[in-house]
Amino acid sequence: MNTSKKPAPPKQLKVVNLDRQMCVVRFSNDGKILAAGSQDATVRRLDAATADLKALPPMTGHSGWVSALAFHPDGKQLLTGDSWGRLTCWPFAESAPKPLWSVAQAHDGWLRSLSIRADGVSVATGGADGKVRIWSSGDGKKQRELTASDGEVYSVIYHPDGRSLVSGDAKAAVKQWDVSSGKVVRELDARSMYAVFALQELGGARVMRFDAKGTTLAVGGALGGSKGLSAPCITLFDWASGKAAHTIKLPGKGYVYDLAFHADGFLMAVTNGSPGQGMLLFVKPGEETPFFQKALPNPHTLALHPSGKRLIVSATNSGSNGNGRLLGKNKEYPGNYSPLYVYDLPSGV
Amino acid sequence: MTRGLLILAMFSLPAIRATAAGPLHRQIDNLIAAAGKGKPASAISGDGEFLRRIYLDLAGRIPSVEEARVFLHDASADKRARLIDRLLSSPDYPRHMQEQFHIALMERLGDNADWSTYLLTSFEKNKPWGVMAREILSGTREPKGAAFFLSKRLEHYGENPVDYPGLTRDIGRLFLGVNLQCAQCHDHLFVSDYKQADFQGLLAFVQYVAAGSKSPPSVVEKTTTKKIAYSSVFDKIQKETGPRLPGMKEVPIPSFKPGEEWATKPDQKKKTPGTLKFSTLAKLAEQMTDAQNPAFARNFANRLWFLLLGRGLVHPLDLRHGDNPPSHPKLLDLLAREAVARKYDIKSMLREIALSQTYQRSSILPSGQTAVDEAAFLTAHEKRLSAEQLLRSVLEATGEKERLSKSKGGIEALKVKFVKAFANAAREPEEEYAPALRSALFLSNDHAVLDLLKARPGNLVGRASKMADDKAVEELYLATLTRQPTADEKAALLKYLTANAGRREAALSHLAWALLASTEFCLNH
Amino acid sequence: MNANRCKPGEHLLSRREWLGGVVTAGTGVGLATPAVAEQLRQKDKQVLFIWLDGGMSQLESWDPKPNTQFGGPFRAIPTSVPSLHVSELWPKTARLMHQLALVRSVCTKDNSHSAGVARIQRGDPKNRGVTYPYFGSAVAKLLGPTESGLPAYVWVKPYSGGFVSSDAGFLGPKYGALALGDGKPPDGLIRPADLSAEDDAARNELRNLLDQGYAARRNKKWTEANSFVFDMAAKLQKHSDIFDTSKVPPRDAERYGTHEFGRHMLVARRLLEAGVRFVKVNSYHWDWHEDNFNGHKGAVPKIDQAFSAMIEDLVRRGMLDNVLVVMMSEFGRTPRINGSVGRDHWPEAWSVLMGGCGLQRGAVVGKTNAQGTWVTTEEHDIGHLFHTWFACLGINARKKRYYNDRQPLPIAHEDMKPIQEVLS
Repeated sequence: MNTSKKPAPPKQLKVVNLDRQMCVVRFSNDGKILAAGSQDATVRRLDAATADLKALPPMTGHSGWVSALAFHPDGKQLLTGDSWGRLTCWPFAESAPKPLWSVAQAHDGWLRSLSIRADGVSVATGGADGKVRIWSSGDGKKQRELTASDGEVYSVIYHPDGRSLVSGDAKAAVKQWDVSSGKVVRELDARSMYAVFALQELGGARVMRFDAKGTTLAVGGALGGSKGLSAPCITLFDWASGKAAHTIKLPGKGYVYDLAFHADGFLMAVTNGSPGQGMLLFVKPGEETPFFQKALPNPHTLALHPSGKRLIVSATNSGSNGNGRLLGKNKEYPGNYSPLYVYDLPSGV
Repeated sequence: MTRGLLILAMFSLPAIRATAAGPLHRQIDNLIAAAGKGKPASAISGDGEFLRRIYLDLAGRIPSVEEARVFLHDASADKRARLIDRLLSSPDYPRHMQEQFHIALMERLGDNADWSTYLLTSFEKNKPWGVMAREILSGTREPKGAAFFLSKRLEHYGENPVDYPGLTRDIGRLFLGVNLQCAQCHDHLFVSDYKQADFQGLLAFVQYVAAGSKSPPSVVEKTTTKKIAYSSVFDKIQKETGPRLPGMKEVPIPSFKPGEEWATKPDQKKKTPGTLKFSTLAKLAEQMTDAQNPAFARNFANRLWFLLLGRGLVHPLDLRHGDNPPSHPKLLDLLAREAVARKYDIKSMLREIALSQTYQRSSILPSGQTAVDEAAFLTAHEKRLSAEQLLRSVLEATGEKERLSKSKGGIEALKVKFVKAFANAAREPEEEYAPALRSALFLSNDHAVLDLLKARPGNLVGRASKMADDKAVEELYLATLTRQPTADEKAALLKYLTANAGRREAALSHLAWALLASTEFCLNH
Repeated sequence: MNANRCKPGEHLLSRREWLGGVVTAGTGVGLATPAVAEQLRQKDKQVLFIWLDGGMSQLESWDPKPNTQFGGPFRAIPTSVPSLHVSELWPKTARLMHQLALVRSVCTKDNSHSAGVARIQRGDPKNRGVTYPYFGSAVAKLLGPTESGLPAYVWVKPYSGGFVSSDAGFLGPKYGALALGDGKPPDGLIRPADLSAEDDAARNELRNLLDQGYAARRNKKWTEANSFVFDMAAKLQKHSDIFDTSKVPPRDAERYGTHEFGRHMLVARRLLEAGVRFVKVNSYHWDWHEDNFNGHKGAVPKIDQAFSAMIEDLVRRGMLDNVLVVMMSEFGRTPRINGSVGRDHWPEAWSVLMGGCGLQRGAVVGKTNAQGTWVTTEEHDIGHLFHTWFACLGINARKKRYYNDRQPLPIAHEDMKPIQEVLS
């Protein structure tokens, strides 16, 4: 019986608008900085001491979208990856950070996901070229290359014990790799999270997370049906047995875009199906329905403060869509931007 | 009695002055003759030709071999008239009329069981067309099914809005004989008679009507409170109109206080629709058959003429206007007057037309002619057969009607295939014969069709296989083409049978196929 | 009747030799005048029209704006045309751009599917109160079937098939499309196994005999119409191996791909080889309002694969000179990326890829601004494209008229003209 606590509903403190759309947001390990990977090839840094999220100078040098980022356990470095395949390591807390190292073509194409091993020694990246590569976090030298997919790798994550690495791809093939040998240990069956509809390839293992102890692997995406995808879902794998313990079918439409475990043992997810729609959901593993859900337009990514008491969801503004010529007040073609929703998570009942 | 093909003779009709006296069918012939002075006319059809044609036109199928033999052997002088009456009283007649009117009024937009029943029972009772038109246009729920004409056209399709202009256009075309499509946004560019005001006036009758239930089909009407505002895309002058049929006065729109527009209010619990004090649909139905609306009678007369003759006196059927006058204006007027006098009795009108010499002419050209002026009606027009007529004729010819009637859903499944192969797409009137690739492929290779030609006890190929070659050939011809083969045809077929003596059933089957696939079978001549 | 028209039996040389002989003077072929040669050349022109229904994104294909506000995540790659870059999603087609022509200045009026698809395919001419024919029906009417006698307008598509007469608009159902659902043969094409070719021929001979007798004393038009369709049926049946997937060489299946678009493009190629005048191939579900980038990433490689294989094959078979190839949608997609990482409809500035008959190889016409929002050079509507394509097929759309009853109607928007820079 699950005895974890659950908080009262999140309380929205503030909405802070960033001028462009963000792909991914994460808190630094000490919770002082919020980093955001942007669609304009910059890495935004925000002072997270207050809910005002004052902007610090962004870091430049990427191309395309900065779609993956993770903070190094040493508390000083930030690893970022972009949609052109570049992987960069930054001393993010400096006032004008310059890359410590950078690999221009860490992947041929979209670097989708990166994960840093718990001991900080290596970083794994997964990309559109179907490869998972492991790099030395100190100097960016390539240590190993795994052919993980004949399609695209969507997500990679190290097990907390650092001995295994998991890759998930566009067809929802989820593989466990032994880090020292570089061999596939087993495949976890998440095939229900993929569908083909006419020429469309839909679904995939979009985002993966381990709980703190590494006993459960959560894979976020959507359920495949005969006409495409039917509903967002999270599949929970029991790590010991490798079996899917539970697939939580979530309300609304679209995919799970981002996912996090709260230390209190529940999952937080954002789903996004069509413009203007989307949800923020909290659900306990083992339960069928979320115990908290809130409609939120266009969410993409969420960042949980290390204290577990603050949550930031980055989304896109409402009124983001429309066919044809819709000009702004000054007759300019409007772009969209990212409101950041800042929430407090009061302690649980 | 002459059997087999006719020998052509050229007839020049004596000039007969048209008089107002005499049975309608003779008046028809007089007017046709008067207008056709000096033009070559075909001979009257032979018995086989007439027999096949009248069966198809009144019963929706070719005659069986037995029916053919009986008629062809009958020596009495009035056998044609008696056959006409017999067919009009047969159960085939209402079913055939149901199918023809369904095709004409719904143009393959869709089917509905209640609508089919409505049509069938209407023709079984020989319900006058005036009554039917009022039922169909009023959107009434009793009799059940009559509202389908309206409700089907009021459905949504995808992202598109309800097609009120399409409904307006169809009411004009099918009930008044005028196609106002190009007069929606401005006066018609080429037809001076078709004004934008006419289109908008017609639209005003239906603009507040919406589709109701599907089964049984129904419509829902909201009260009309104001005129339609419109303007031409050319002059942009603002105009307005209330409901108005072309050539008639505008219907005044009463005003009601909100809530007072109902004579009986709709009841949500009992699910009754309520009746409006002022219903434009009721007005439409009323005005359509009003004596002040001669277009209705003319359209009815024209379309009945078309059913039997294969070409309207106004041609195309929905384009009557000043520059496209009827080919025989006096005749159309006569038929329209008679229609009114007979209170739109369909059987009565069809009977008269069928009795005329004009109807009974052969489709064989007058000798020396390679083409004729079709508008003169001095040669029978070769008419399209509907998918339904073809199906029934194929089943009759192959002797497979009974077997398939007994099999569960057998005829229905075959009907679906025939419709797919021979019917037009939705909204394309089926007025002319139109050989198509899909029809040729269907006849050639469809298993269900070829299966009808396999020898079975009692069916055509089965019977023929038990006969000597020459008798077999005669049986095939009588069953399919309602005639005897010519000498040349017989020779060719016998040669084929002799060459294939070792596989006679198959050979007979192929012969039967050739007869069914021939133009002569697939047309109504 | 053109007195110079040759009779088929006189063609002792192959068609290509014959035409080659006409162009070089004094070869002793003797029969042809340039007009006849042109007429024959015109007879051979064919069209391959690929329709990506829903609106493929020009930013994820022919007019990428990498690393800009609206550019999206993908890179641009060089092509076989100097200084022309396309989206990285199209590596195979990129290598063939020197065989093709590109117009990046397309600006059309309708941003809806339900009206837009028909408007584009009908060429969006001035409103004349009639329903204009789709491009395929127009070509079927203006050029008719080729010598092959096969149906002039065949549509290879997913889902259902049948006879789609609505494409023909006012031209009448005869000019509609023969739609092959999932590329399968039309109903009734395959002769049943227990019916031999000889029996089929014999029974049709009898049918013809009957028709001759019938027509002897009647107007010939109905028997002629029936002969026409039965002949076409027979011709189509002769080519029924087009649909026999067991006859596809494994190498072809591999190159085109075993997905539905690959299979359909193979059927299309074989239809073109057999002499079908106008072949349309459809792919659906390109309307990426959500997850536009993953969506294109998943679907585009299949198009890239089969399209490039087709172009290679047309080039190899010497067919690209006579086949006009067009690949397009009803509009492009918005530069602005919406809240579901999608793009919406954008007719304001998009691209159309084409190639082949009458077009200049490697031509790139028109530009959009740095952000991809507007066309900066002369804008081209679908009417301009219709004029251009008709010109490729040897038809002067500024002069040629349809006759609807007696009403003369221009075949393309009367205020527009061909895009000269893209014509050869």
